[in-house]
Amino acid sequence: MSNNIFSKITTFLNRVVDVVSQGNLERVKILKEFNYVFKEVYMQGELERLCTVTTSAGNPQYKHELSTFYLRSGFKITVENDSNLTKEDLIDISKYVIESAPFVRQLMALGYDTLIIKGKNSIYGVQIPLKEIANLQNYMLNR
Amino acid sequence: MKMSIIIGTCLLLIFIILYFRKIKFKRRLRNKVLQDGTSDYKGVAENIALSIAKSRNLYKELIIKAHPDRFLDSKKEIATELSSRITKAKKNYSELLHLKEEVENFLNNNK
Repeated sequence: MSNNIFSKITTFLNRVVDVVSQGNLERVKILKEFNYVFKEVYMQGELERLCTVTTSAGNPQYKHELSTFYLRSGFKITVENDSNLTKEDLIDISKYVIESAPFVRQLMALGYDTLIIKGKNSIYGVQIPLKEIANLQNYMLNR
Repeated sequence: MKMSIIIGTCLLLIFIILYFRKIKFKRRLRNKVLQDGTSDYKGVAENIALSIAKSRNLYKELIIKAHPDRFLDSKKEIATELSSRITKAKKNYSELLHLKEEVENFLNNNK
């Protein structure tokens, strides 16, 4: 119960910081839509595992031109029911997210630099540098 | 003393100007990338979730149906091209759905 309240307060504060630091609601919108859709698909029984998306600390080594402060630069997908979840499963999930380069570029424009996939109770996770999936070079050349 | 104050102020001004130019550049770059992308995050999220859930089975179904070894001559070429596109879209459910239509049309024409 207390965990739940704590996570709600954290989510609210995160959203306030997102709006203030980015000057728009895009980051809040993207997290909200992802969480809603993942929950819906899970409830319909199509997804075996429930995933939630949050902003978390990214990896400072994966910084790019539009990265935000590293404590807020991670796009984290947490697998809530993570029993028997292997590292290969996490890598597999990450492949579905990085499949679309335009979407990855959008995440980069919103200040994210690290894609993190992690089980809720597992120690290990996967970190992927977004700048290796898509780059902003063309946009910088055509400015 | 006066000289050092003037130099210090100039350096500070240059630093402030460079800082604001950097912020302006970042904002322009961000807007450009966001304009080119989609604002339909729900659609993107749905595609990712459904891809995780369904694309593996759909991929298997399509790759078997469009396998080049099942066809001869010119049909074989089309099947090869379809197969390579199916493999490329292996983890993209919406793309696989489009390809499913193409595969079905191709198979119907082949009858």
